[in-house]
Amino acid sequence: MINKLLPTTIIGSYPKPKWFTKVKSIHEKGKFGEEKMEEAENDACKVIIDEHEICGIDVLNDGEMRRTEMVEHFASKIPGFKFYGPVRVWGNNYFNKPSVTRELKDPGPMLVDEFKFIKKHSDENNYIKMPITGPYTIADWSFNEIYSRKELIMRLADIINSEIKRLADAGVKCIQLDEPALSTHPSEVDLVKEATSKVFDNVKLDKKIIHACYGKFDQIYPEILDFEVDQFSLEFANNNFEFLDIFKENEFTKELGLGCIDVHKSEVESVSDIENNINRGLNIVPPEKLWINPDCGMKLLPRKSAYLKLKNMVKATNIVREEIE
Amino acid sequence: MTNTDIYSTTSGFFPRPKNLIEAAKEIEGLQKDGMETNNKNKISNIISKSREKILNLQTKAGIDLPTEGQLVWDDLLAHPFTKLKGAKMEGLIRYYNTNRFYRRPKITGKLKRNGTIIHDEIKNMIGLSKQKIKPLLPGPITMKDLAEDEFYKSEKHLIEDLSKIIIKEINELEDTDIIQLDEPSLAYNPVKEFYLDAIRYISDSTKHDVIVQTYFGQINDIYPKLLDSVDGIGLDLFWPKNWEAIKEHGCPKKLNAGCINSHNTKIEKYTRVAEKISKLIDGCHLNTLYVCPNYGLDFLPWSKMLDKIKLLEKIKNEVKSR
Repeated sequence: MINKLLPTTIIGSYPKPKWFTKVKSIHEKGKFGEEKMEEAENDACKVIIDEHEICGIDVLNDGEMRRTEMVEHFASKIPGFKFYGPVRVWGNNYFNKPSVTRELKDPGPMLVDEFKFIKKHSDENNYIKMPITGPYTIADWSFNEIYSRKELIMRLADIINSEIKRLADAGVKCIQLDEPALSTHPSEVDLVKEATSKVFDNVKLDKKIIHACYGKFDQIYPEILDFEVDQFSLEFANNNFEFLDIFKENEFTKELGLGCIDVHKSEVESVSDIENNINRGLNIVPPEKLWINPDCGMKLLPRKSAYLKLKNMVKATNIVREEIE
Repeated sequence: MTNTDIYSTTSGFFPRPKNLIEAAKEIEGLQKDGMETNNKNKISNIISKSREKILNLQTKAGIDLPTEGQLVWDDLLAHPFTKLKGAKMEGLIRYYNTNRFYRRPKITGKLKRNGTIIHDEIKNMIGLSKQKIKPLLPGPITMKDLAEDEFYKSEKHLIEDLSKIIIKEINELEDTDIIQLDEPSLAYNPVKEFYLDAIRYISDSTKHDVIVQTYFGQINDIYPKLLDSVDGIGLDLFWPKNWEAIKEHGCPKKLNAGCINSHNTKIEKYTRVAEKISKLIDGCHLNTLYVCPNYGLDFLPWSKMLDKIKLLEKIKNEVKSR
C-alpha cells in the first residue's frame, strides 16, 4: 500500500531509447538473435526504470519497453487472433489491428515475467503499477469475425481475469486496466461495467484502477462511479479540463488519477502550470483521493521532453504536497 | 434481368501502399504534422506510382467508377483544411466513435481557398486513367461538425462559407462531371433543416453530379429530402433503417449501395449480398445502383481491401445475372 499523499505515477508507455528501437528493427529482420535481443530488452527496461526513479515517480513500471502497441501486444499472445496487416490509426500511423478468427484461448502468463523483472530492478520501496489493456478496448479495436460483440468482450474479460490472478499470485498489488475505448459508445457503459467486474472477479489487490482518455466523460458520468474499481485515471490536460464541472456536479466518489500533462504536445509544461492543474484536480477530490499522472502513455513524445515533463510534474506535486501538509 | 443500371465504385480512401507509408515516415516522422507541400513534392514520384497502383487494382477488379484513394489525405478533414486560409490544425481527436483519430482544425478567421484543394491529385489521376475518376470532398456539415469554430460563432454562416468554397472547387474541376461529398455527420449526428438546404444549394450551383455519401448511421428520417436535393445518395447498408428507407422511397437518382463492410475483415458471401440487393431492386424503383463499400477501405488492412474490392465485381455480376 502506498501511504504518500498525492502519489505520482505514469500511465504506462514511455518513449523507447533510440538505440533500442534500432536494435528492434535489426532484430525484426532476423539479424540480431533472440538472446541478444532479450539482453537489449532487459537493458532498456532497466534504463527506463532508472529514469523514472531519477524523476522521483512514486508508482512506476518499465514504460512498457517490452510491448509494441497496447492491443497488438496482447492479441499477439492470445490464440485465436490473426494479423492481416497494418491498419491506419491516424495520418500516416498504422497499427497491426488484429482479427478474431477463431475461439480465443487463455495463453497463460503474459505479464508475469515483466512484473518480476521490474520488481527485481527497482528500489524495494517503490510501488509498482502494472498496466493491462482492458477487454472492452481490445474488442473494440479488433476486427471480430466470429463472436457477438458481448461474447467477445466477456471472453476477453475471462482471459484477462486469469492473467490478473496470476499477477496477484506473483505479488502485484496494483493493476491499471487501460480502457481508452471506455466512452466511445456511451450506450455500452453497463457492458463495460460488467466486463470490468469479471476482470477483477475474485482477485485480491490493493488498488484497481481504470485508465481512460479521449473521453466523452459527460455521457458516462456519474454511471462509471458504480464500477467495481478504486480509481479512475483520466485525461484532463489535453481537453483543457473540459469535464471539471461535470465531475463536480456529482461527488466523485472514487480516487482520481489526474492527467495533468498533455502527452500530445512536446512543449514542456512549467512547474507552476502543473501546480495549477493539480489544484484544479483538488476541486474534484480531496488530497487523500488524488494521484498525479500524465494524461496518457508518453511513447509518442521525444524522450527528453517526456523526461522533463515528468520531472516538472514531480516538482509541482512536491510543492502542492508541502502546501497541504 | 433488371431495368436498374448496375455498376461498381469504391468509397474514396484506400490504405496507403507500404512504400508510401515508409516514404511519408521518412519525411514527417511520427509527429502530428501532416504532409506539407514541400515535403509532398519530395515524394511526388512515389505518390504518383502509388496512385497508379491503386488505379490498376481497381481496374483489375473491374470497378466501373474508381477513386484516387485519397492517398495524401491524412484524414477526411486535414487535406481540405490545410488548403484553406482561416484555419489551423490542432491536436488529435477521436473520429466519430471509431478507434481512429484526426487532427481537429480550428477556424480562426474567414475561410478562403488558398489555391485549389483536390485539383492536383485529380489531374494526376486522370492522366493515369482511361476511365472516369470520382473525386471526393467532405461535405459542409461534416466539415463544420468536426472542426472547432472560433470565428463564425454561427453554424449558418460557417456552413454558407464552406459551401461556397466547395462549389468553387467543384466548378473549377475539369475533366470530370461527378463529385462525391462525404457526409458522415448527416448519419451520425442530429440534422437541422438548413443543413439539407446547404446541400441542395451546392448541388444546384454546380454542373457536376453531386453524390452525398453518408455513413456511420442511418438517415431514414432525412432520406426523402436529401434525395430530392442531390443527384445521388450513398448509404451505409449495415444500418437496417437505411434499407427500409430505400424500400419505402426507392431511388430515381444514383444510389451508392454501401453493402461491403469496410469495418470487418470477415469476407461477405457475395451471393447473399447479391440476393439482398436483388430483392431491393425488385421491390422498388431504382434507376442507377453502384455496389460499393459502406465507407473508406483504409479501415482495412491491405490484403483484406483487395479481397473486398474483388467482391464488388462478383456482387455486381451476380445481381445483373439474376
